[in-house]
Amino acid sequence: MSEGSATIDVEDHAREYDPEARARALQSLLIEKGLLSSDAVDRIVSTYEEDVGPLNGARVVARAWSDPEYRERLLDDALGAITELDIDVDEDTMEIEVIENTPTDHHLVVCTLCSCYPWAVLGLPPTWYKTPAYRSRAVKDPRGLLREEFDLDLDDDIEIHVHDSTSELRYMVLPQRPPGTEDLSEEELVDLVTRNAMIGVDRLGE
Amino acid sequence: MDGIHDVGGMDGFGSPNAGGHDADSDTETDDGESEDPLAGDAYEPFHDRWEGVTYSLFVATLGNGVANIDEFRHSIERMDPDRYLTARYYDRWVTGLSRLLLETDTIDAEEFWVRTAAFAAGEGTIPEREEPGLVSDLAAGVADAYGSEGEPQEPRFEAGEEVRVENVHPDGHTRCPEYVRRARGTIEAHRGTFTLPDASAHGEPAAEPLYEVAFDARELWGEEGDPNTTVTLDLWESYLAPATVGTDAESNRESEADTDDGEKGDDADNPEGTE
Repeated sequence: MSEGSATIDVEDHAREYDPEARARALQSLLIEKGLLSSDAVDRIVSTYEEDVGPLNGARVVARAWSDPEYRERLLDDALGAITELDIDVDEDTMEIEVIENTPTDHHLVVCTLCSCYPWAVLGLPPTWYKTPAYRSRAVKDPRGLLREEFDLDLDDDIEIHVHDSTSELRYMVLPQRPPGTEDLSEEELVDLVTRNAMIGVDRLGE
Repeated sequence: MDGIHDVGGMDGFGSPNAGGHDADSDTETDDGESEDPLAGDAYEPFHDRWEGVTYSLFVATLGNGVANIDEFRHSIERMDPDRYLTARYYDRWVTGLSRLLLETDTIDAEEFWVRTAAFAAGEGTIPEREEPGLVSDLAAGVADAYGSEGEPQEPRFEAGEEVRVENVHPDGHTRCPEYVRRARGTIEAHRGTFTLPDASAHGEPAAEPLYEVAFDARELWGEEGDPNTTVTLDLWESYLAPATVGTDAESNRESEADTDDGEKGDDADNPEGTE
């Protein structure tokens, strides 16, 4: 455990130093070894902070609400429909399935084993999505979880479909179009779509 | 492995909106991770610069071919359980990446320890080195590091078929959560043939048919289960066995002791004969 030992117990190391110091040490080492560069770090961070995020998913949803043929394509071949909107999805790393809420069916997305999430359309996941509290309860008591933690009280006759993201396939929920929005333009509809609705912890239909 | 990461169905973790366990009392104050609960729909992928740096370390580790996505997930699963539950999310990533970079001799242990101590003491410096083409190279490398579609294989099951999840407890990585093992479900769809994480996490390339499988909540949780809920997962073929027609999982287990049911024989419940 002292400096100079030939091996490191990663856990001992982590208990001794905060994650920032460990991350910075790795950053400096990987840049020195040519595996990372200063501009790569900036580009990667700005990509997630500025380029990808829930707005991409909201554009997909608003288009599906406005264009029935697009909606069909989205439910049939999500990746193809998403790339129609010039959203950059790497088909090698992600398959996406869009699942549609209806008056009688509600979909909820979780990853019980880690934090799998459709980042190409929603960006990186919110903190609560990554907590053991959400991951554990979403599959066992989704109705109680939605009611008590997300103020979403679903009638007992609405069937809940929980999707545990165990493979590289990612799920995004297509929420119902809220009533009274018939006169809104596609751009205006984008503003109504919440990230939480596309995960399934919010329901826009009522 | 039956690790702490496999939390599906566990009780007692409290509220996902509480921050609590994921907040880090040792470093920043409360501008940390407890601030983006359900109420706001704000998008804040990184709460501190080091979290974004950590994401870049992940891209560099996968993008340079040091490890694949399954090896990365398994590196986090191997954390000490107490730290897994108390560390901030990106601390788990730093821990897993540290392990992978050390295990592959990409970095030297002594060098890493000394360097970390320097940054902890406020004496570290990040070298400036520009390499404009690197980001796209890394992106291509990350794509390779993800489990991709394999050569098509003939699926053993078809949509509508009843299956039962094997009662397996491998030492290594698996994407078959504990809460569905031994449960009976229905094949919803055959997804194609995909890299098998159980093998890929240990450096063995292999692929298998992947299926969407639906489980009735009552099958998973008994009387506690919601009568109007289904849980679906994507499961690889070797996680699954045909369900014996006309029996529920319980009587099925009883019967397998003294009968050899059907053409699959005991192979259906104990494929490798090792448990």
